[in-house]
Amino acid sequence: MWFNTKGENVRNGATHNTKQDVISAGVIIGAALLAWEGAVRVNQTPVYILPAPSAIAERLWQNGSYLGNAALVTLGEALGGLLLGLAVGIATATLITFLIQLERGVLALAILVKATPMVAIAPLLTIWLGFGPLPKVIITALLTFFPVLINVHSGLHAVDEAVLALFHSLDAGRWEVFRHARWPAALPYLFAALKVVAPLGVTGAVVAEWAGASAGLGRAMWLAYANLNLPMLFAAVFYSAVMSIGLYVLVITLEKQAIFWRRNNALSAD
Amino acid sequence: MNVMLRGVAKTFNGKQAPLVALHPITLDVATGEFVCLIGPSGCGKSTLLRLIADQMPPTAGDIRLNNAPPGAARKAKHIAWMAQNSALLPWQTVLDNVRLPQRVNTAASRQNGQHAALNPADLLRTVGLADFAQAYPGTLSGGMQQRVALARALATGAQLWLMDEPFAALDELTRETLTDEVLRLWQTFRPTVLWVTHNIAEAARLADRVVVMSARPGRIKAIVAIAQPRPRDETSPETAAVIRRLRAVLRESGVNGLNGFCERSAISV
Repeated sequence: MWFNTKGENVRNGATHNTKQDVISAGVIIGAALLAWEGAVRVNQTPVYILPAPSAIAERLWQNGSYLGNAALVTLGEALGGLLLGLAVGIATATLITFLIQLERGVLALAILVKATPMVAIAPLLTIWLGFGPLPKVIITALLTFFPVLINVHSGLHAVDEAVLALFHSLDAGRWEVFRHARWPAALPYLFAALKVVAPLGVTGAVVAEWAGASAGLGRAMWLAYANLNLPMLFAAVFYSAVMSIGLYVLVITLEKQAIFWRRNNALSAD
Repeated sequence: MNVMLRGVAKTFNGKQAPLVALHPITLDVATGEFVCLIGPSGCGKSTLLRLIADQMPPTAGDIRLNNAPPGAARKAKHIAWMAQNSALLPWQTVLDNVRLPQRVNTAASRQNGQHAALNPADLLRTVGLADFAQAYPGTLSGGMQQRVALARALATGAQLWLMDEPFAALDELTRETLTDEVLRLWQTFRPTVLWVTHNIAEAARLADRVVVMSARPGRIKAIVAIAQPRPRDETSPETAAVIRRLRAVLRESGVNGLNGFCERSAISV
């Protein structure tokens, strides 16, 4: 994606590249929106089939507070689910690193959870737990859990043999190896998972809301869809996309802080 | 710390047949002695070092470090381990990397009270990296990274240094500077050193005795004692004679792939 910092190794310097990326992305998106607007006007496409971007923008402007409130509900559910899935995923990966005999069983169970279609579970959770935010948090947490578990588990085992030999030569405890070597080594893996999972978290919450909710963007979408109010539906999609992108950018920002030694490497390469 | 090997052998479980890595080795290394293990690739010299470091058990034989099993020496932090890979933690500063041996397994440190004299900042100064204490390893050159690893090995305060081709990945110039440095440190701290290398000139510069090993299965081919005082000049007749002697012994074993490093050392003589 355009805000990916792929310019790290480029000689021109990062700022120039970021600027260039923003401009090129803006031009491409602008051109696509113009083409969309033009096509709808020329073909006189009915608004209940495909609304023009201007109609969606109008709805965004008029129903800003309605959609904004719905988006906040969804964002809260997504963040809650992401944090819960993150915590459980990291804890499980840590547990099976320390208790290696549990590894196979726990991973098999995790794959079982992963293999269950969330679309099927969402209505069940609604029946069991009602129309409140809890089922949405659980669905998002289930989506988050697996990639975090698998990546952190890989990361905790991605420690250099030579480093392990060093700690062995000092007769360091397992907790010391974890703190000084395994956990920092797992951080890049954790953030790789988060980059996938964070935007997905919003989608997960929205999908869960489609299965029955008293509030949130998914409910707004469902209502708009039932009334064939497509400008409203698209406006809600726009909000959901903005939140996904926002979470992705947040993850990238946190990653740069957390994995600071990579940045140091990049600097020294210049 | 003295090292006593009695009939130490190692056989690995290969996929089809067992792989004999080491034929029974018997060797004594005196306290404060600098011994180089030299031989072609696959002669088991690294395996022997890893056995002494208690990284795996021998299939047969007995290893004694100051008359105790290697496990006891390791648990008491009496062994400093250093290899070709500097094994620095990229997320810790240079100073924190050097401090690592004193920060982990502190129970053992307290017991032998060996760290009183070894200040990590001083050790960094000793290896010429005082200005880089707060830098991260990723910003350093390969030679500087090995200097940090050297300082970290010193920080253990161990009296046995087990070094598995520590400078093999470095260029010739850096390598010579660093081996001189190691000699200086060895003369200061007087540890027992077991140094694995496949560089003849390096062995001739460093060692009190050179243990020449032959390839698969590994066994001791000859032990060459070097009496010349250090620093040794490779072009001096005495050292040149040692190098010739070592090369002759190595060539006798008639191993394929040996020619490569014979040629390389011929250039440096």
